[in-house]
Amino acid sequence: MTFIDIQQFSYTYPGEQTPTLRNLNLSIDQGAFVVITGISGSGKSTLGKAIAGFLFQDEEPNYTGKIWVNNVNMAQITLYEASERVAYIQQNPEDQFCTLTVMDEIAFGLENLCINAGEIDKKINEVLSIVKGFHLKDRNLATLSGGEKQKVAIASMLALSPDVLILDEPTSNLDPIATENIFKSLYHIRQSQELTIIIIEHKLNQLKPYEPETYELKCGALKPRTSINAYKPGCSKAVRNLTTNQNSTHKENKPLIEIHQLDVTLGGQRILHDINLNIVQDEFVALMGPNGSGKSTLLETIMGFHEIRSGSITTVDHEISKERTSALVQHVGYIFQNPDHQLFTQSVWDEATFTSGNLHMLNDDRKSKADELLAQMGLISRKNDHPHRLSYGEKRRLNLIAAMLHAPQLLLIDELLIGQDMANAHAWMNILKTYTQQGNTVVLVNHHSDLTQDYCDRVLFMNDGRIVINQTSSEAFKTIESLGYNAFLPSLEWDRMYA
Amino acid sequence: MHKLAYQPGNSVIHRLYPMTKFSWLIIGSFLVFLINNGVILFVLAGIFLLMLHLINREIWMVRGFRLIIFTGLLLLILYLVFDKSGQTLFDCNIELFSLTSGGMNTGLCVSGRFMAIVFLSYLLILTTDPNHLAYALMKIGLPYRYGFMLVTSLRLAPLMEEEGRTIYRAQLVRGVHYDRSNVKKLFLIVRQFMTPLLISALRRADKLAFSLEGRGFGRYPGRTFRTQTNPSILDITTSIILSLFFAMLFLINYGSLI
Repeated sequence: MTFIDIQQFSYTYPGEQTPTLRNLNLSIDQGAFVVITGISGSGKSTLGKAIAGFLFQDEEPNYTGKIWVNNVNMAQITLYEASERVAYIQQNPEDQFCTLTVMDEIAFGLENLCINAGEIDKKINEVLSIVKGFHLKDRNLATLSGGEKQKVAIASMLALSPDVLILDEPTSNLDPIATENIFKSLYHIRQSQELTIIIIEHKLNQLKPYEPETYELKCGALKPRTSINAYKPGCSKAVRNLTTNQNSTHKENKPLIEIHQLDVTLGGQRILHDINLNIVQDEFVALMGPNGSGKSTLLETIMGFHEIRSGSITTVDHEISKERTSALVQHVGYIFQNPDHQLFTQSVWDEATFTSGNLHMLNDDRKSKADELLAQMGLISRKNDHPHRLSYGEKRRLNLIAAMLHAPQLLLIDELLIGQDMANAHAWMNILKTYTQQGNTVVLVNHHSDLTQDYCDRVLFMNDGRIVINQTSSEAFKTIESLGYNAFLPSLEWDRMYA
Repeated sequence: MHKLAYQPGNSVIHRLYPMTKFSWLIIGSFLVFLINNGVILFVLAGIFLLMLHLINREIWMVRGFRLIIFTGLLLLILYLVFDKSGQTLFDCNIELFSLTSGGMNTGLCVSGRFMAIVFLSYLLILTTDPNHLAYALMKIGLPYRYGFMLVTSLRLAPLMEEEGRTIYRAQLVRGVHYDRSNVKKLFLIVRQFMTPLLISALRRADKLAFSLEGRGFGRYPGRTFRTQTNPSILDITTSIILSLFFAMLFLINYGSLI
């Protein structure tokens, strides 16, 4: 029986010319497990919000067509009524928490609906058991890991007993182990609760075992995908051939980062243990590992943000305990996780040339290089726009240009590919690969095993504040498998495991 | 240095119901204005200080705490030096350094009241989870829209602080120098700091609004609350003891006048 029926649905955001969704048709059965994928900016979240009834609230209607959920026209009910039927979970659970503790958060919706206290307590226990998070009951939200937060976000929505659960990239901030965990719980929830679940997601490999109905959103329209495996853009093959031959040995090159017996303690908690590491010129290094294993802290320490209690770090000939971060700026480019935190100026051009300007290096050569990079990344037409008007992917590209323009020898990147589709991801990895081939070094925190395998020379795998694997990419994945971190293996290995 | 914020613990004061503590803060703040004996007030401030010290040995390291004590003592000294009313208690040839009963009592009163109220507030802040207080206030009738303004700001404050730190670091790695000698440049840098912070705050507010609406916030004029801790026998006993304690202070204060 068709439970969700979308007929000829189009939606244009207020102030935009081109519609984000165009004459879209889709029918989903009750209890289906559906995955919607598509490139960044293709309108996946918009579709999710449409089904959840959020797009029918504009003062003047910006839509045409109809969306029916369980025979109810979503345009004709209030948002409150819509939210009883369809629960929409936003990309980052942090963004949707309204309270401070796990129990308050789950109770929040029920309290708003004036359910009595006894019922609420019963419901809290029930939904926490469903998401297998009963042990989290008495915790503060701030102390939870990313995966645990996502579980609580799901539980707080399940408490409202919706018919449909929509999750917008629920695992984008999670490591592969936590991702697998969330997918497993969702599959279990769908089976035990007879819920219809729609997941908007890029990580199709890890969804494979659950055999979801998969649709791809392209140019505003949906197409069913018969095989999850086929999701690799055609262009990537050429890129792959180009880069796999570049297996030069870097051993004799000059070391850019030297770390000896480093321990780092933050807020009384030891985050990094006994780190020993050398990274030399020309290397493209991937830093992998579960959430909370210390990857970001390691990068931050290399950049001199944390006090070093024992051990030593030398970054591009600067001993970190003695020098200030500002001494490193000329030699090191650093990209933080959230693009919004690192856009300071009023135009794309200013942003791209910001560091060079601060370093008094902005000559004509550098300016033409900026033009060249902006053109290469497809941002030249947006040169005079405000950086915060760009899309997420565009901001990320601008971050990359901004960090690279003054040609630092070392690029430290704390996750670049979150929420990016494979075509974009390949293009960016290619740019970074080329950069290392020009005599520079890149250290990239990356959860994407396929891309790591294809592009990176070396893998550092961290767990619990220690570097447990430090090997060339080809060797590293064998060790990762032998140590049992299967969720971190590339898709080919997944295919083999689930064959 | 520590921040002035709630610190989890298991003392008697920690275990009191938030509203009990809040009510006694209000009552206490009024009562110290009814007492006019400087010595009593000063001793009272001393008792509160001792309680603070017992609850948190590191209270002296809380930012601003030493300034409070310094201000309190400075007030006392200023009255002693400049208020020359009443009988002379201690006479030396230089007028500025002689002590009078009027200056002494007014000084002890003002300084004692100031410190008593501040220490009492510190006791509340250090031992009460503000989230519990907000929920307790909503349960006794504070409109829940205002209550949740407090809850969400409590939730967002640490996130914004973390964001501020990241933005500062992001500026640092892009070669920004906080040069205090050049006011114009400093203004520009502060603007560059505030822009991402403000945009991020607005974005968060937008997403939060989304989440609130999606979960029926504001659908009904009232709302229920899950089972939470309620006032216990401890609160009643404490309130009785405190009432007796203040009654005794009044007796000493006004009894001596008769």
